[in-house]
Amino acid sequence: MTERSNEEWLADLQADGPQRAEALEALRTRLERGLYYYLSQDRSDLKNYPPEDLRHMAQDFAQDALLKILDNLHTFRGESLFTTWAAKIAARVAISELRRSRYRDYSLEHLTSGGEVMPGITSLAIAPRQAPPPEHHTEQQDVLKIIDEAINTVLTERQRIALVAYTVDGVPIEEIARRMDTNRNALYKLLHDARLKLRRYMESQGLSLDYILDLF
Amino acid sequence: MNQPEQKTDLFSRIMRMIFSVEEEDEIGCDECYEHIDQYVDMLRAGQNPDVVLPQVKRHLEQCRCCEVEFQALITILETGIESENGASS
Repeated sequence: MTERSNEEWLADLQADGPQRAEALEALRTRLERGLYYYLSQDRSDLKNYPPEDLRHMAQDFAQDALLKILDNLHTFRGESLFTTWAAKIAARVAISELRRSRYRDYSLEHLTSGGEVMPGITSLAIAPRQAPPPEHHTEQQDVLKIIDEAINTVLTERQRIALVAYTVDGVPIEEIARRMDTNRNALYKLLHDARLKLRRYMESQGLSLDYILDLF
Repeated sequence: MNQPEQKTDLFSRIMRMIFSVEEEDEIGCDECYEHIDQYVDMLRAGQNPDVVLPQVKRHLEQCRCCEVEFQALITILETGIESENGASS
């Protein structure tokens, strides 16, 4: 069997009868195989899962992806191979579900009560391997004060919460977005603006990245 | 395990992340997703997608979520989406 062209994939998947069934099965098989390999080889968080469980996960993700692919066939613009476009959707489906599952119990509440946000980032810098000389220590404290000021004066509360959840807690953007009633794209922009504000403020106070990294 | 050292490493990473932000508009996750299949095809064909789609490269460097999905896409393509010729199942 020769490889289908993009046009043939589209035609077959929109046809009736066995032609469609065959194309669907071919696509499902390939997505499932790719997803299984990804789950079993690339995901350290799933390394203790039995192969059979991973196979079931791959089947479920492939099925969900297939439905999404069929719903969105009209949006395929032909700028890539059809199979690459389909795999892109499968990757998004699988990873979104894995993220949702992993962070099911994560809440932003601990970042919103009692100004707990502020020490989140700067407290990470206060434990150097060896105690610095006193003048160095003072310099460090001065810099941390500026960073704290930046976080607390130039960012909105939403920016502070998102920044700490993303950087300190390591939560994926789309999971933070879900909890903040927004979408991934908007949250990325919010974080981008937050970073820009912090950078401008710190630079206005004479801080550069090299200086901070040297100091800590 | 040196926990304090790990903490300061994270602090350094956060500072790098803040200072690496660009003034000009970067593309967001949606636009990156729109083009990532084209980007990956070019990469796999031995072309340099960074010339045609420099904003995608930039976004992948900045966005952990999209970078993870990009790597997953590469893996899925390498193993499952190759030509039907010779596929065992």
